Amino acid sequence: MNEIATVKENEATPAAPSRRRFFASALAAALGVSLADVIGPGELDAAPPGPSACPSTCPTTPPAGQPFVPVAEFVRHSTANPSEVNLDVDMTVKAGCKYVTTIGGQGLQCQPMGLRYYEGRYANNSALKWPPKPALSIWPANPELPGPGPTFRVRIGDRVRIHLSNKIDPNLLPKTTTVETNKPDPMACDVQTGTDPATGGNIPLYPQGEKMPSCLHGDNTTNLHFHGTHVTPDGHGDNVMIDVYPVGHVPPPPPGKPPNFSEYTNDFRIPLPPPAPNPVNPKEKMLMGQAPGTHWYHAHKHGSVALQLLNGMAGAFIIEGEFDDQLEKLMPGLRQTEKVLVIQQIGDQIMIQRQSNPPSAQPGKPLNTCASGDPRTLVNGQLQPTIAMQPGEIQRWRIINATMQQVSYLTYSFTGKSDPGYVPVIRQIAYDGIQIAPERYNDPNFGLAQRFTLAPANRIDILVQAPATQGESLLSFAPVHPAPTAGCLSSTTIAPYLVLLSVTGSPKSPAMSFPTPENFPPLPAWLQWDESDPILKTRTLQFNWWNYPKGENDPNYGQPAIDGKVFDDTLNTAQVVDLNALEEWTLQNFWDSSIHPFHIHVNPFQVLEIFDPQNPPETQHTIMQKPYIWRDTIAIPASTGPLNNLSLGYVKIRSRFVDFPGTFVLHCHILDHEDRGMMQMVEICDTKLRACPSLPQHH
Amino acid sequence: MGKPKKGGYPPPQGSTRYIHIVGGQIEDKTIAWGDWVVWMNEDRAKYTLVVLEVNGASVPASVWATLTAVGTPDANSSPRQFYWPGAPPKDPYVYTYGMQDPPNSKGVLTVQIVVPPDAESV
Repeated sequence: MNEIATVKENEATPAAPSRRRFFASALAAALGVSLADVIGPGELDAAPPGPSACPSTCPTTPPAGQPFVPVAEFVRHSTANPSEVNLDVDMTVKAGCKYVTTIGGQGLQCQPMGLRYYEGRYANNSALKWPPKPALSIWPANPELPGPGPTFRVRIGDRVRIHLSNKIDPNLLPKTTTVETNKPDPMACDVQTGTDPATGGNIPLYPQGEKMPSCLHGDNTTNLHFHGTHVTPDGHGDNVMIDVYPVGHVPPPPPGKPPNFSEYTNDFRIPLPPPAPNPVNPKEKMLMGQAPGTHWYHAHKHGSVALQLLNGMAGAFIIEGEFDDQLEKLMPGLRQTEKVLVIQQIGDQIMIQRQSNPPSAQPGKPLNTCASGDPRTLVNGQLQPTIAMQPGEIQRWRIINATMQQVSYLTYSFTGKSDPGYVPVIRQIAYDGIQIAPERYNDPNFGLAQRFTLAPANRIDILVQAPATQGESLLSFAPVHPAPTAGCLSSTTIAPYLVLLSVTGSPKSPAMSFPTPENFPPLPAWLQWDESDPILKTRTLQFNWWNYPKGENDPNYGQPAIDGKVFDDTLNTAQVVDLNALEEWTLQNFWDSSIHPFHIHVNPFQVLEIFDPQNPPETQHTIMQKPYIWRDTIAIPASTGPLNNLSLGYVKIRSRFVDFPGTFVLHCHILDHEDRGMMQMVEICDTKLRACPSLPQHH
Repeated sequence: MGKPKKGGYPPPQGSTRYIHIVGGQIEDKTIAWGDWVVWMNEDRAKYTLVVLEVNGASVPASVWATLTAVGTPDANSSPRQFYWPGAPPKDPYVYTYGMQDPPNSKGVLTVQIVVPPDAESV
């Protein structure tokens, strides 16, 4: 990874050498004839020079254990002009070949993969914040390495503008669809074919019975979701209802519809806490604030979310505020040593398990989807990097699970590398980018726990205090439950650690200590709801499969769904909620082969209860204590038992849908489940503004 | 990293393997059961790839991929999986396939339990 530091500002990355000339020359020499005599010289070797598709092998296999490399940051700037933009970034989506380190087969390997990725630079072209290379102005510095997009760092109240430009060249990637062409109907489900081993004949694998819009499709079309933000979902806010097509492949719109496009600008203000004015409607005061914390952004075009995140299209979105100021006062210097760890499992292909292929997918059970390859759990694109600390030092680690599949549902804890007892002390301070209350900071299940669990899309902030002596410790991980019989291969069982912590040098001076429960930052008032408020409405959402409980003989039986309905972009699969309503929802999981990480955009929620039937009886049912933990994504535990007598995993949550009327989505954050239909639209209705419901069609 | 257990690491989940067609020639390739193949046409000619033989025996000519000219949306194929249900055979399977139309080049695709290191990484 060290080659990142050698890239010069604005240096153009040379295209990988083409294999075309080599093959053509070798062939001509071997045959002694010109193949141009057969099919014409212009056809044989006339491809123009340009970026090459993936070669067969990597140039080198990067070693594990390299020093931790932070992702470059785009940092806000202060301004006295309240209408000025505080962070202005140009983000380009590209395709290219990356060399991904994996473990499997023969051990440590490198594999070339054709991937989509973000390239970011300041709109004004100024340098990024990244200490080892202050002059760096573009991220990634080396596009041949996998990893997340750049980190954005802003502050509560800031205006953020991200200009997204889709420059994916489909010619550098496998074809998985009819792509976005200039046809009246530009989208169609991806196609996957298998091979009969005995005859070489064709076996259709996908899409079987899955249909638009809920199938894997439109892999080169994209948009941006700002996960964890409490901003408007409409217009140029956190709007995931738009399609940004690859340039050169923008289809004409249907008759009477506005033109399609290959560029889009998200431009929104992070709201200040109450009683600040609502940035969308200044006559109204905010009822809730934006939680300052560890949030993230990622692609969110329905049908291609899983593949694009598997490719690596995600990044950290850090929003700072009073919580961070208070921590800095308690532990001076904390900001300087802070680490942002974006966890990814990089791959280039979504693999659908059929009921009969492989045979481990049991008939009558939902179909699972896996990433192809052997995606390792990477941090900022690195395999098992080393983080150095001084003895006794405390650092803040912001950890983001930016993966997309079930096998990344892992529990993390430190284990000594040589001495099992050599471990740092950790203290959890936030979950999903929302600070926890002092009571929870002092809770054995949260702040005091020495292990933590992250489902896809979860974030956690921890304080890590290195032991007082020198040594090494591993941040290890293990599946929360044993791998399900119909699940993906659990490659995470090989060398299962995320980072190596190396404690060296002299003890930290002056000594650092954790906040006490007494001086830990209290929850701001807008995170302390009046818990006596009446619940306006209760709802139960069943995360099951298409046409549940019927449909066993249907070809797409097992297709992920909510309430038996696959997302169809209509009111048939939507929740309509009144603005400012306080509601309690029960989320049930009917699958025994997978969790379903429930995520809802715009408004976080409080967690009241969790029931995990796969736990021993004494720990199956957790009733949360007040003040509640806030989350924006929570794993609904898998069910157990036979289909006709399921013991359901469930979660009970409470949310108030305040500040921003508009349309957004809720969905499972195992993202192929979402792409294939486990999603619903949410419309927050303010009848003072418009007739409700008024759901738009976006496909 | 730790040492691999006796017998080596378990085989990886299927990976995508890229096969390039350049100057009318199909690159020979060795892959593992479970892998996917993507053919990438770097020529301006259009090609249709059909299977011809399995382990030396002729088979019906199923179409594996239809590739349009480089620079067009269908120049690369959809991924095609080579999967062996259950425990794969010890001996490799050798597929001979080729172009349906001139220049009628042939390629050899070998599928086996694991890909030797020199075939998948340097």
